[in-house]
Amino acid sequence: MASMTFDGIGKTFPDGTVAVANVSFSVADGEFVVLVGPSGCGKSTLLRMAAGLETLNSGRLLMDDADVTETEPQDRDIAMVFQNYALYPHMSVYDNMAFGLQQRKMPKDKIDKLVRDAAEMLDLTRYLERKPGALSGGQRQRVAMGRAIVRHPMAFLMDEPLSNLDAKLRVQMRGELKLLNQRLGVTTLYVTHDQVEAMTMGDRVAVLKPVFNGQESNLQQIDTPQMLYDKPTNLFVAGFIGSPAMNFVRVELTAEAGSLKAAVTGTKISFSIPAKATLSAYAGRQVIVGIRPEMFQVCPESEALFNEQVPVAEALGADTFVFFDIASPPVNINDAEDTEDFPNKGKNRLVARIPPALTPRPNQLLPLTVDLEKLHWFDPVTGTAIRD
Amino acid sequence: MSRRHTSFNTALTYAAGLLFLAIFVGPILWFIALAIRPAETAFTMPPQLTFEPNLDAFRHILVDPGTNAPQLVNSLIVAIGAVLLNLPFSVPAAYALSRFKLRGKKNIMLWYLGLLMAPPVAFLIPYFILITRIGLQGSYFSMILVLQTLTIPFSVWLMKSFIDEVPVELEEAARVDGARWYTIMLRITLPIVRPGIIVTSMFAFVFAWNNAAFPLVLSSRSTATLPIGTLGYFATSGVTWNYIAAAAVLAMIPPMIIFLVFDRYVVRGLTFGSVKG
Ligand SMILES: Nc1ncnc2c1ncn2[C@@H]1O[C@H](COP(=O)(O)OP(=O)(O)OP(=O)(O)O)[C@@H](O)[C@H]1O
Ligand SMILES: [Mg+2]
Repeated sequence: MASMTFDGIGKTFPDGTVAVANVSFSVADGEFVVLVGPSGCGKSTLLRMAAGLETLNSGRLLMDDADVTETEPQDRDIAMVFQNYALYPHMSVYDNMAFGLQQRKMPKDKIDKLVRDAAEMLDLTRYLERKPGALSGGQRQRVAMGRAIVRHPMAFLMDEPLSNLDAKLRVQMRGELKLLNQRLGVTTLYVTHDQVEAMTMGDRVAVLKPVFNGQESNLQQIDTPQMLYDKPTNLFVAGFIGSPAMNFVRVELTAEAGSLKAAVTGTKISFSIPAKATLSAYAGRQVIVGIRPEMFQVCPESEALFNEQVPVAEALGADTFVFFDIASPPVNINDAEDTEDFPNKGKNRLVARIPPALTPRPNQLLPLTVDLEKLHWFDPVTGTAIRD
Repeated sequence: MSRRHTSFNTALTYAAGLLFLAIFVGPILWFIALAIRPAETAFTMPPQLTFEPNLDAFRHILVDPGTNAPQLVNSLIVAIGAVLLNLPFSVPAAYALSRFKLRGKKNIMLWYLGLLMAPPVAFLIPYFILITRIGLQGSYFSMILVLQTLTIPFSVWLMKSFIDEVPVELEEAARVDGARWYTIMLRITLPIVRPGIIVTSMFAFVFAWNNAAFPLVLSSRSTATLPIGTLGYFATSGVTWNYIAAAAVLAMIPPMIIFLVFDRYVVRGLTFGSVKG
């Protein structure tokens, strides 16, 4: 077991693609860190660099304070679970698990004990003599896990190990993996593009974003799931974490005596909040407000902040998601806007989570208010969160 | 309407099938007939359809080669030798060309292709001189060696396409598991491409077996292969058609056996079950 430190890691492929740039973070001994982000944000590349399968263009990689940047994968003592499992097709389940131990010149009886223990733990004992081709997807996934845990490595690297499983099995394996990690206490770096998986499994979650040049960094924020949810550092993280995603609304801020007035761009909707130091600096400008779906509350019409027709309602049983449009320009969270010339037209679709009993009939007006204390505020140019 | 249409289609299919059969199997049957009929009835006009079959020609080729060497055995020695010498070079070469970052990789592959395309006749004289200089003329080894100029390029091309099919992740998994490249090659990649090795061996064998040009200049009387022996029957005391036919029929048998035995490897998927299915 070991800690792992990424120190200013960068990777540019020979064809000029910048896959990873300026990524720095540490994984503590025994910690479970999840890398999450949209497709192409460099998750796999980062993991492959940790494994030694990809060279670094810049930065250093430390394991337990030892520099392993130049170390061959064979000598790193890490185990990796590949997205497609990469089981050896010509070997039995037993040999698949034993292969790594044989490379370490371990005596036969010790290998046998380790393989059988791991098989026991993963409920694979019955399949030890089978070839991977004769296993179901979930069983193959467990063999891939078994091949990793049997070695008792310093760290696990897992690249979307659950993505090939059906929804039910995925939820089940999610729980088993987490339990396994707690039982073995092995440092784990886990890649997924599924934010639910990230939130439920990670001790900490690192949110990554694709980069286009070496000046930026893929790493947007690394924190506990709750902190990511409550205090996202910028628009990208705020929009990525949470399902359905956070609503973003453009407002024009003006200073009034002791308070700030926010008028939703393009509409007559406005509200006031107590003046705050940092936010007051934005008076006279446009800012972006973030509203989580659950921050909306159905209220009497007289207290409503939004009162719009609801064309779509999705009843999920425990909750209902209602969608409605306001006549305000939408916010694109993927690119920070490098212009002061903000749009003031367009349609912005918002989503609110309400109790099922209050589900409106189609196209009925639904009066909603928002807990103003909990609003998230973002700089429209940089996308950074504005906090006091 | 549709019923008649279908039966018409069926009839057409059978007619086409019979035509193909006549084209491909006809000559073989005719040769077999030629081998077992009395030599003097070979080309009588009109063709003589009834005759007393005899195995004299086969007996002559197999048991009583007279002044001729046991050509069937020679052919086997040369073809098997060519396969055995071929594999230890072509398999690692194909592995390297498939997996390693090599400069001029493309050029090497094209050069191999060029060797295959060039007519072997063009090289006959140089090879003859070369082999004579190093004192190998007339030996089995000279033929086995020179055949490599054909079998190695061909095998490398074929093997490389098999190795290309093996997902790189398997080797990466093995690296992470702690295996060095030679272990990976011997314990992961080669076992997985075993069907490919068998198929490649088959083709190399048939290549060598069918080759007549090299033995023509490189063999001696005692090392002559089957094609050379067959040619010999044209020269001595008139054309002995039944001997030629018997030799040709015998020459077809080993490749046929090989394809029948290893047929399943040609079609079998290589990496079934290694990655998610
Ligand atoms: N060998 C390569 N050569 C060139 N570019 C590459 C190579 N491998 C990956 N890339 C690029 O690097 C970027 C990051 O790729 P990576 O596979 O790490 O993304 P990812 O986050 O794992 O995406 P996904 O969720 O789709 O698996 C992508 O733009 C990809 O096209
Ligand atoms: Mg990936």
